[in-house]
Amino acid sequence: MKNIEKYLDEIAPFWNLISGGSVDITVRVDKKDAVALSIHNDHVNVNIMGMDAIKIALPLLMKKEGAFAGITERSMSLSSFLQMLGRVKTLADKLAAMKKYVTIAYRGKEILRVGHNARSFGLSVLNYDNIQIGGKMNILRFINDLKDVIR
Amino acid sequence: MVVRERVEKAKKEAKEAVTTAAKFGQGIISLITDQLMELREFLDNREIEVKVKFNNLSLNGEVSKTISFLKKETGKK
Repeated sequence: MKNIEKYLDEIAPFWNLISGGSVDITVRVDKKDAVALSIHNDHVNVNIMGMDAIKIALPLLMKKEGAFAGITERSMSLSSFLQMLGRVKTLADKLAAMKKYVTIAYRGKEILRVGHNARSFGLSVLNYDNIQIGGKMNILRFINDLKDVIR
Repeated sequence: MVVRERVEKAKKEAKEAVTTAAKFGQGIISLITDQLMELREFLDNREIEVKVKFNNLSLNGEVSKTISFLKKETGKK
């Protein structure tokens, strides 16, 4: 699987062309909503609408370079969530330099924001600049549902 | 530059703008296809539906400039 920064390099030329409005992409798997992407001039919203999309991508996400590498159901916790954040730090810094940001939501509730305008005092102390985590309840709900998929 | 020449230039730019817009659309579709191809072994026997909607989309560069110029010039005529 290509790393996440390579995706950004591929998308950047198209992304920079957008000056207004948005490109909305919806992916449905077996007639169920899986992921919705909304690409705007300065940000991209990724809405994970159900765990079906994660289930399909899981073998890739668990690989060495994937976002969930080394994470098992037993080790799945808030600390492993922070471990995942570490893997998106380079992306966050790159997005901030481009003055763009990406939000990741689970079932419509924001769980993560990376890039420009993403600030979290707690995470800045841990040297995770340009990363902001959403509400605790939203993250816990995401981790809980993720546990069921990884199990 | 006389108005006719300016209109011709703007028309040429508009044609280029349409090509850019078409390339943009193609680029988006091929990016999605690439991602799905990477996942193809996990997508076997699954029904995948991808919808792309351009929501009041405007593109950078000469596109808006050209269109506003054409509007202005044709308005004058």
